[in-house]
Amino acid sequence: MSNDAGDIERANHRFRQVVEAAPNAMVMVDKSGAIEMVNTQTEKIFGYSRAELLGQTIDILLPERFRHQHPDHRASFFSDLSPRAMGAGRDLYGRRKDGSEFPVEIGLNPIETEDGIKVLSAITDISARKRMEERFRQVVEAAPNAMVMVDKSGTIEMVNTQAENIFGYSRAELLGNSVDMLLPARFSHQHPQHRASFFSDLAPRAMGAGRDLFGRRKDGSEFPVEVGLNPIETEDGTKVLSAITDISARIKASEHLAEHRDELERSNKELATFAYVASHDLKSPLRGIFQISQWIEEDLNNGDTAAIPSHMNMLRGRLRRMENLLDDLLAYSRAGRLEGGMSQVDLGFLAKSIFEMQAPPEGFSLVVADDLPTLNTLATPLEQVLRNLFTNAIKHHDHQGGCIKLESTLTNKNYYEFSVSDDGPGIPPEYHERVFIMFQTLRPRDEVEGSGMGLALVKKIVETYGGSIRIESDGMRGTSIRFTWPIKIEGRVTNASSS
Amino acid sequence: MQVLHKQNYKEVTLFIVDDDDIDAIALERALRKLRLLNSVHRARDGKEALDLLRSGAIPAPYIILLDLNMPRMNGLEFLQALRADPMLTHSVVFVLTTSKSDEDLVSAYRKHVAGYVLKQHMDRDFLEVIGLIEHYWRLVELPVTKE
Repeated sequence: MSNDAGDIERANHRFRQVVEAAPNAMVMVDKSGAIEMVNTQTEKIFGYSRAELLGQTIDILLPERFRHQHPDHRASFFSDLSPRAMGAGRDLYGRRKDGSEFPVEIGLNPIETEDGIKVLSAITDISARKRMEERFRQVVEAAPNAMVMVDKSGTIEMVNTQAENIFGYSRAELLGNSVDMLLPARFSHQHPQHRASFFSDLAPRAMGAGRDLFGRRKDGSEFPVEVGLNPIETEDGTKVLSAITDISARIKASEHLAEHRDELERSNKELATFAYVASHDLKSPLRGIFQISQWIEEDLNNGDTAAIPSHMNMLRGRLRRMENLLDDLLAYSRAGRLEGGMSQVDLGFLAKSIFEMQAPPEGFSLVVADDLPTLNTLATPLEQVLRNLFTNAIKHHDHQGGCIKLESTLTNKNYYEFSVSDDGPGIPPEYHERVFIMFQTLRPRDEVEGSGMGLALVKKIVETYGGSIRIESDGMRGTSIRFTWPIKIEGRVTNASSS
Repeated sequence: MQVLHKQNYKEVTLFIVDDDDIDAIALERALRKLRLLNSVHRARDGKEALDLLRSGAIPAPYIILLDLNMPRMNGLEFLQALRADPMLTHSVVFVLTTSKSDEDLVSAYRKHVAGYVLKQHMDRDFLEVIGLIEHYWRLVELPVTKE
């Protein structure tokens, strides 16, 4: 038997050496909780010497607030013996000799010995890890954009205050739920696939290259976002930390910028046209006047007065033309700016009074449709449009008399469409675009006096309020000018194009 | 002044394409002043000019004096159509315009005009221009359209 006793002695010694060599603190207690064995690591992390610990109850290593529950926990462990981690789901703390506490992780192993069952606990000081975790949490919290960490299944594990702010959910509503709740419903069916493909090829990257991404707030509203994805290795597997930026403001700003740029381009183009036109169309009557005055002088010197009255006539004609050009140019530059106020307009009545004001030559009549609306609108620009269209219909008519019709041809929820039709000579299709250009006339001004501004002005006004205008005519007989006019005028549309 | 023998060459027709009556009258007055008896034809825009040329109403040889800013078909569009028409592509064209725009100038020369003359000098009348063109047609052999 002495041989046996020697074997046991040797086994005990080996066991002690193993325990001593363990990298973490090892403490063996008996059923009553009395400490039977500790290693050097235990002395180090708890600050007690071996002598101070042996024979003491294990409670000495616990913060006082946990001591009263400990006998129960111990009893339940002894009633169901199996190796396991202590305190699943709870944070565990150890207590040093000086009374300070530190977070620990504890593994429990039941050991059968000759004097009954003991528990060998392996205790790890996890202060460093906890500090890292805390630091990570603080970094995430301090991030300027919303941060959401999800696991492989898409369950939200961590969010910061920014995430609460931009999505309108509280932290408690987010944690443990699927990240799909932050996506518009129409995208959520694709999200699991995208997530799977991200997890299969882990690398930090921006989400949804080339696509527009949207987030969904708690109230269901959507907003454009930019999302950066970062894989993070943690103790419980790979997570994805996404940084989400609400880019509504940026998008709005760039839209604003684009609007300004379009407006600037438009007005630059207008200015260029104006400069071109001013150098030609405004100058040519001036040159004419200069020339005629020379002819008159020459004719007078030659004693040839026969042509003088006709030259004088021509001269006055050029002066009038110059004046008209300047007036119309001014009207054009002001189009859409002098708009007066909103008023109730009976369109049929307005049209008739405009027509009468123009004192049309005998033989011309205006027919207004019965179904013309009465609308609350900016009367001044609408009047300008109709006046110019009526003037054109009368001025360019090739017969002694004619009939002009004003009709309401179509209405949708935003616009009326009106048409002004005449039975004049028509406009051949190849000129339908040209006639809207500033100073373009289809006949020489010496035949039909006109600035060529009428339709350009009409187009500018119509487009200022978001409408459009087109010509219907086969060039053989009759012209219909159709334009849309907003049912509710909201204001000027800044990106009205000019040609 | 040198004495010209008319039988030696065919009298050149001047074809004015200009919507402005005053410019047309001024050109004719300049011709009269220089005692030139060339026949003068006129169109008021590019389209009318093309129609007249194609109908043979303008007797060859002719020189076209072309304004740029005109109704319906402007001068540059007229040049485009002219150069694309195999019967008319060799026509000699002088541009007479108020447009100082570089774009117009370059576009016109790209369409092979014989000259680009600004009519902005109101005091110089058309005498200079007609003088230049007169020298031109006396010295230069003009293409004659074959039937």
